[in-house]
Amino acid sequence: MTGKMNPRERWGLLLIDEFPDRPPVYPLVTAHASAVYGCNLIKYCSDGKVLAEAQLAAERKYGHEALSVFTDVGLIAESMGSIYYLREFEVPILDRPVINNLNVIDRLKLPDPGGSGRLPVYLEAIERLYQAKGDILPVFAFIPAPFTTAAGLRGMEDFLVDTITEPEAAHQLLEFSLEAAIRFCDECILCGALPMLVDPLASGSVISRRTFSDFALPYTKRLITHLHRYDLDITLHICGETSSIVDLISDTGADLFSLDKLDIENAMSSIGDKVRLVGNLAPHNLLASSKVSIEDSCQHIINSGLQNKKGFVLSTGCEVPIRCQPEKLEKYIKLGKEAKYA
Amino acid sequence: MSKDTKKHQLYELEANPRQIDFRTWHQLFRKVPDEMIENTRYFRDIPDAEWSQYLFPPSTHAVYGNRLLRKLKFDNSLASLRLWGFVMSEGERIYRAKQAGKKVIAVMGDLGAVTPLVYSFPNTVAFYPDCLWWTPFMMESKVLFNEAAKFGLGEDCCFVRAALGAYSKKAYFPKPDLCIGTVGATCDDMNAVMSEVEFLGYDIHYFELPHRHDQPQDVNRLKGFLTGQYERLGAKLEEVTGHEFDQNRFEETVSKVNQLRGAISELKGMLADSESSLDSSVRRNDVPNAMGAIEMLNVEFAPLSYYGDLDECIDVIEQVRETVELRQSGELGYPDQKIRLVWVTPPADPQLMNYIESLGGMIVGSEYLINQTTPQIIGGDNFSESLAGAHLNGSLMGSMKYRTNLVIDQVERSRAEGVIISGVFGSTHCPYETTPIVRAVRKKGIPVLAFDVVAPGKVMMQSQIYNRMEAFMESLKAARRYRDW
Repeated sequence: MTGKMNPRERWGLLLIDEFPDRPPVYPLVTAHASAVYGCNLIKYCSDGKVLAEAQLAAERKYGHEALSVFTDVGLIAESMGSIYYLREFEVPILDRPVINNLNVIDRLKLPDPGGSGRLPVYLEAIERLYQAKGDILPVFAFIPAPFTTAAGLRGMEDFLVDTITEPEAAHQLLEFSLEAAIRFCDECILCGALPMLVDPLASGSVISRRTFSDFALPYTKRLITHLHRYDLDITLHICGETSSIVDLISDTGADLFSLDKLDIENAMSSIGDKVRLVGNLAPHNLLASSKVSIEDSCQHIINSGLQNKKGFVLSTGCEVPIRCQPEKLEKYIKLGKEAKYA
Repeated sequence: MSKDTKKHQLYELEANPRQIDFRTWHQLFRKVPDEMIENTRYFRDIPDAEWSQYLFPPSTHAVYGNRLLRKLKFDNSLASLRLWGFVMSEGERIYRAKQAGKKVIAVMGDLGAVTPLVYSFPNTVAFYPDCLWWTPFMMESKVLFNEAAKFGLGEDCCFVRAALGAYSKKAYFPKPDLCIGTVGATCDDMNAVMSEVEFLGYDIHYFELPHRHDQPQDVNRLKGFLTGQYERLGAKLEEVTGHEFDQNRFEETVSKVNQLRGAISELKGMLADSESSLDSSVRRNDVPNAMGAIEMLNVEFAPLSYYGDLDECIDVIEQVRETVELRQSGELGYPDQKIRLVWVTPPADPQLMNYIESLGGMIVGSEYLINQTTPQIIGGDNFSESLAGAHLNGSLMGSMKYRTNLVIDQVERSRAEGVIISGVFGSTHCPYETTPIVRAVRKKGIPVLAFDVVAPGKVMMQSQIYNRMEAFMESLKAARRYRDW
């Protein structure tokens, strides 16, 4: 008659190089929580109480093993002046970047986490989730990495052009983005969340290996170094294709890598002895229209992931789709909870 | 550690001692030099172990679920930061010990006296599962208590039942290579925990504690009995560790343990003696409190298991001692903490100590039921006799009168103005001992506040304790005003 571990205990063991009874099961349930809770996304993205309540409702429904505070990757850029368009049925998108002219970079002001943009929404949500369930569930705050924030300040296409034609200006923007991320991370930590860096625009689907090495990696690394100074275990999530940069992930210092469109065995052979892997059921497999068997795809990931030397978290490759089919997600979580280390 | 680093350790991050919250520590931490963070490590015998750093602020541990840290007040010295980091990293350290091939020994019950013997075997560390009683309070969580309740140990059992929950969950420490547990004149609640732990499938080596009547003729007879217990344990440790007992190594360990115990005793003495002599004609000269009560609680609990690393533990405690020495020499301390108090029985909820400090109290003495871990061990050819002699100081194995006298001694030595007794509902010794101690202390003209600590989450009951503390402190302040007038 021995007890079952709870998610906090399971994660705790994973992060000190122990193998818990089984890997944590942590699909990236973010905006989908609004569908479970029955609120629209404008409310979800702009009201900390609603965000927290929705996360708790989703956790009650699915029993996944960490809470996610995330609205959109433009959060920090918006807090520095970019305009984002909030939508009822989809996540916010960039409407007007604050830097339309490189000469105005100097005028950028670092955000006040307690008052700028929707940053307080995040902090309120974290505080509420930590108070409600922090003893048994980790709370992850998804923080846009500097590269993604810089793109949000400048506009994606212009920023990518800058990396070639105006590299100094691009670095200047990245410095601002880094400092803003550090400030915001600190506040999230103080509210009780563990920062999880998300860098969708640093994906191999978007930029080259060289651009990643020169512009994304150094700033992500500095952000992680700052967080490591506080002995925090940091997850880095990069969306899309990452086979061209996977070997560089360990150079960022990330303790866990949340992978998307990359075979988990490739990741294992490349960085599996240094980094814990988090992944990676393709989110579209959770849509009602998908013909892919959840059992088959999940089993491949689990069987491989269990072999990873540094440990493994069963997750989705990216956010669970807002309109995912709940039964599929339930099945996936159930399979994950049946997994066992030999 | 290099001399330079040692010198660094003593400087204060802020000019004046004060108690700060986790948010302030998080910001202040930026001022801590990188080199110091990198060099503050446990298990220094293992080179290049990146995981062995532990100089981190309370916010780090709060993120990992220790929610109470967001409510506590901490001393603002580097010594305190290091002490907290060392204490809070104990769980990971025990796992790392196992990963590094060290033997891990659980010492349960009124032990701590056997710990020097454990550390006398190479590559072996001890931990004290009973201290898991802190975890539900630190995490503000019922998880471990609920787990213990599955085995029938509910609210009528001491908070040490959290240790049973931890054994069951297998997520708080690795499987020990040996569990040592006390029987006999020891805590009944912990006995119940141990028998359930055994039921879970853990082998326990029982160590019997005799009841001491505190008569002179007791000493030789009981010392002889305890010597036998130590011999049995020594043989068991030889079997478990695969190493023969080595007298030289034992003496080396005892020398370190005595250094640690000496530093703690000196530190307690510095706080107890901190009051300047009463100016017989007029007023007392208040010397400010130089260290927080929770930090001192952590210091006093160090000899139970050395938090898993004896050498590092000595350095950590020495740094606290040096900090207090430095502050007292400059008459520095927290402002507005002047009412001198002795605390009896350790509170599982550290927030209570902060609260009394916020009301103007300073803890100048304590009786935490761990007297078996305090005396200097007198060396000799026979390790069992040396340890047995020291063990006989234990508070719980002796008479009620003995413990009462310990409290009175503390009160008189520290010239305390009041005594606080924090009992544990359900704990067998508390109801029997509290009343006689209260009577004896009051007979000396010293006011006493006695209450039972409430489990985490019972806000209404806790607020009643706070109310009683406030009233108690008001009466002590009034008494002081009257005396001074």
